Amino acid sequence: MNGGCVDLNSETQLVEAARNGHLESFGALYQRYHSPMVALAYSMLADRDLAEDAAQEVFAVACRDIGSLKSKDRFAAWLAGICRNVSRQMLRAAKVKPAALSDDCAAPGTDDSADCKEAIRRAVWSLAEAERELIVLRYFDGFSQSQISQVLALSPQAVNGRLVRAKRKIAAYLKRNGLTGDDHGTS
Amino acid sequence: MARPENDKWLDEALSDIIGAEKPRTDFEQWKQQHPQAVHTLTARAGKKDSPDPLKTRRLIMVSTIVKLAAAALIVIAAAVAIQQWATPDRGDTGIEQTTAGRISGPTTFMLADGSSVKLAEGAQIRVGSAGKRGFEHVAGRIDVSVTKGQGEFVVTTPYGNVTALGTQFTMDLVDGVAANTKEPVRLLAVEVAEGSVQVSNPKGSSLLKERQKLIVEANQRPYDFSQDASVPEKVRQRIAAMVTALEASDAAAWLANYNIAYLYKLVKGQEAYDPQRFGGSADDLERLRKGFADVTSPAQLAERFVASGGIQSSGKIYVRSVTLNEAGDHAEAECVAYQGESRLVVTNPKWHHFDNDWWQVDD
Repeated sequence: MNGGCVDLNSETQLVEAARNGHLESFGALYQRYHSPMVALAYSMLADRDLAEDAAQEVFAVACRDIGSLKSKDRFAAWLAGICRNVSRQMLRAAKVKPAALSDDCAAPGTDDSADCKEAIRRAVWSLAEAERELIVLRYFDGFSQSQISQVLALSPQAVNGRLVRAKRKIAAYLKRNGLTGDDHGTS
Repeated sequence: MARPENDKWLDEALSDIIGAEKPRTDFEQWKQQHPQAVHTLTARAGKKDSPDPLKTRRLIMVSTIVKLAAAALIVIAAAVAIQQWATPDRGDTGIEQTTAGRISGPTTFMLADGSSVKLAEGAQIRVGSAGKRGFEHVAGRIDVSVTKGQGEFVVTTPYGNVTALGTQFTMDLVDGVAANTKEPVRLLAVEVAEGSVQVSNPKGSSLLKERQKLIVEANQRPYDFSQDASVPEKVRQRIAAMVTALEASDAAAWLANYNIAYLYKLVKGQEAYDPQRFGGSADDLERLRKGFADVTSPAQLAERFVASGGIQSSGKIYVRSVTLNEAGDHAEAECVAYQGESRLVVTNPKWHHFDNDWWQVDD
């Protein structure tokens, strides 16, 4: 494999080649998973810049540890595990409080669009970590259920079910705060 | 607005808030900023992954008993190989019966028992030298015709085994990237033309009969939407009709899954915009109204839809999952579809229950 032709569409081949030191293959994996890793980190850090930094670090760790990856077809889930660890370390190191939960956020109003957005943001970050990961991955860059299922090591059916439940919780949160779709100004 | 979780506005709001700014993916910049990581990775070039072989070697050398067992295993394997080489029933009707190894398409390959495998361009199988009937499916699309009455026939794949008895079936081992979503797509699709097959993996097993097809993905049980009891029968029929129509490029049959009478009223402004029933955005509706303002009946609207370009010629469509909302009146499928020979796309058609029936609302 090393030095030979790598099928860029075959993730297992890319992973195998990267394990053998093939930088271009690692680059293809980077292109594929950079954005999901930023999303995953963002779901934990609630800060876009920190999330970008975390994703960069994730791939540095992946470079170092790719030899320890046991199952080539679980690369995305393995990467996600690194991402969670890196994000937790950043939270601990900086004592970051997720921005969406910070005290200086205004309490949601009733009909102002900015307040409504703030309320939705708060609703998302009030979810449990696993649900928040799902929601952020889904809406961050339009990742499909299949992509999410690979990153989170869940079946597409489980992703669907959990997404529905998470959205229901968000809707309940908004309802408790007196917000509906009409407040958001969308049809 | 009774069920905000089902409404498009929440989707739009979440996309707006969470996905407002896309990250910039720049590997070249990452490489420049992480020279040590790059060095660590590239230093692996030329080296075999050391942990596994070392571990294996330690295990093998750990005791005399293990060494003896390993030696015995080698002797047995050699004996089996010699016996098979000497077997007179190797046949002489073609390389297929005498040569074990990897076969690549396009070709039609005859197995020693008379079964045949038609390999499409890019397809690969690996045939063992002897033993049980069957082979390993490595990649691509193959059509298998199994000779009846000679016992179990097993095709192994990374996602599970397909066991057949006197039957014809198609297998498609997909390993690509969707052109529209850029996501990797890896699955096995099995479709039965005649007889039946059993598709099994550690997660589950499914019996597939004539004209049924299912998909299997890594670490998941085989999935056949037509046997998914959590989905209403009518929705399953609608999905099957959609798949059949699209695979046949039959625009009229495809359109029959839509509520044309409702769409006509919508075009004429006799129905208010409802994203659940219409499926598209308010802008989509405006375009629809402008494009078909002059139609005078639902039938004419349908004719105009078909005449306006019909549907693009489509290849196989594989339904990966079907999800029903909590209220049980909205269903969404995730499909992998071929456009042409090898272009893959991921689609999410939707159905909604209204006017006393299930209707497709989005493709």
